[in-house]
Amino acid sequence: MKNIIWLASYPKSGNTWFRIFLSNLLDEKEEPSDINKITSTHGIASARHIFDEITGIEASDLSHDEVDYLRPGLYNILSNEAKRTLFIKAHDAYTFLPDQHPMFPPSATKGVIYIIRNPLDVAVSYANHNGCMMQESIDMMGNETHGLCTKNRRLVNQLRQKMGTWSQHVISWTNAQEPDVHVVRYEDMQELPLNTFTSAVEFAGLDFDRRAIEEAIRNSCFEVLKQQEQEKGFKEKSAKSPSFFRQGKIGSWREDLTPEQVKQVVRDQKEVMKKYGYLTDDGEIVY
Amino acid sequence: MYHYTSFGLQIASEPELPGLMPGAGIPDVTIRFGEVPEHLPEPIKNKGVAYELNEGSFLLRVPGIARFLVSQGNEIVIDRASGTDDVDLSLFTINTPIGVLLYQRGFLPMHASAIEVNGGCVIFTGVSGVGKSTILASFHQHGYPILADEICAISLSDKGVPYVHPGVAYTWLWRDVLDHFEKDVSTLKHRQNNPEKYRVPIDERFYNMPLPLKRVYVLTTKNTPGIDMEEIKGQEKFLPIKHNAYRYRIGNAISNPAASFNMQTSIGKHTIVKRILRPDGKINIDLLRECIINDLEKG
Repeated sequence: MKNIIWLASYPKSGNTWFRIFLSNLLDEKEEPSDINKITSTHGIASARHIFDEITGIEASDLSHDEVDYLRPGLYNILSNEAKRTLFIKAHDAYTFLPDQHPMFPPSATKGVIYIIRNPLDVAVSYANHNGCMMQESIDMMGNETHGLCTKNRRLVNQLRQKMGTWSQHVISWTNAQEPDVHVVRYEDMQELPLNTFTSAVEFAGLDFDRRAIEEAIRNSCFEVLKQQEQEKGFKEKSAKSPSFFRQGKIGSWREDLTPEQVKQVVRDQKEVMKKYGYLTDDGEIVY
Repeated sequence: MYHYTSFGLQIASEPELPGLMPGAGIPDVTIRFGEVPEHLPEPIKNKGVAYELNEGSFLLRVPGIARFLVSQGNEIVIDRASGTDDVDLSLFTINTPIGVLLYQRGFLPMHASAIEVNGGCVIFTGVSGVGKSTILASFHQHGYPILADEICAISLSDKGVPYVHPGVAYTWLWRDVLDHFEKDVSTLKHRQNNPEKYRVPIDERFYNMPLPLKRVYVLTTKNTPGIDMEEIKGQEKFLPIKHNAYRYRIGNAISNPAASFNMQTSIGKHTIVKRILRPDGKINIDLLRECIINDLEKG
């Protein structure tokens, strides 16, 4: 059974916002869902404890490649045992194993909602999330070997996630042959929320009317999320960052990146930026 | 055959299993090499990516290492893949197969590490990566005897008191932890495919007798500074015990629900259960150990 919809994105692209919207929609409550109790979506594909439980082997006893070899089987079991659609977050790129099978198996995949954001704004947000310099963030986004939890010397709570460059990440998912992919732009989530969320909800095969979608949009708006984080904290926040919901602004790169850094991002990510409307053919930055 | 006493069992084993304590009694369990099928006969009661189980038997396939068949709580058959070295073989044997065998025999194997404090057992449980082995190593370095790491075999005495049985006399530690303890890694064994996680023998202060379980620390992480500790009371005590059972999903499929409930209730009744929240990321191991020692001294 194909029961999984992957909520895939490069980090800091609006994935959490989208999941909180979905949670508000699926919870069907009038008041906003608690951001620390998002139970209507189903965690992250790289969660170590899920791997351990469902494979029967401790991931920490295996190499990264041995873990990857078993991951498609994990998703097939999750999908087969699901009683309804699972929405699972993924920061991995859409990669293939040495046997040429995709890590995210078509046999488990109902579809992919790929969330994309202007890489200039991602660079700023990624730096804040990691507690690193802007330049480091930009370099990581241009590094073909970049990933999450890739180090070997220490055990962390997630499995390795290969990401590649920002552009490689986008293309890996959006050009994937088998899964049906619906692209959602962060900027459209802000500027055209009703249309953007409605088309994603329809893609996911969920049956909700306009009133319910509008309510979920209101209950997951930036101000609500920020207020909840200020009052109760947010468990998905990185320990290196003062807050998760920081500014949520389009174009904050204009205040935080130097002209050289902007040039580097545009040079590294040019073609994909053009493809998704972040750069005009004349080289002008949109947003 | 090698003869061992570990996890409250007499074990006769064809492969040598370093870290298990020498034994001489009539074996409760035999571990031997033999052929193991790819699949178990139907009906399959529960399966995962690398395992399947039916009534009485459990099959684990570790790709490139071995297949393990655990039957009736008294036998583990190992079908070793060609090229599997002894480190890999013992690692994957004293792991899920032993945990399953304990479930089949009515034990509760907790995913935890254990030390001896004032004649009782204190265990540290929580998800992988939270620091169970690290805190164990730190307590050991500060003179506390160790009972077990990774799998804590718990059984109830005739009077319903939970006892923890000694496991294996080693722990597996990652390079960053060993660097913290300034431990020379040159003589330590590791998997060829996982060269930064080392098997560290416990040559001294291994506590080789069962001990009554007195206290459970549930380690968790948070994204704010400082270490917080809170006691879990009443009915809420059972949940962390239940959820931190070793290979919870497999155990749930094997165990008798009434017996499991009885075990969890007894543990809850006889122990203090506390949740420790530490900052996410690298552990401040000395601070964490001191917090726990302070708490232990309060009684």
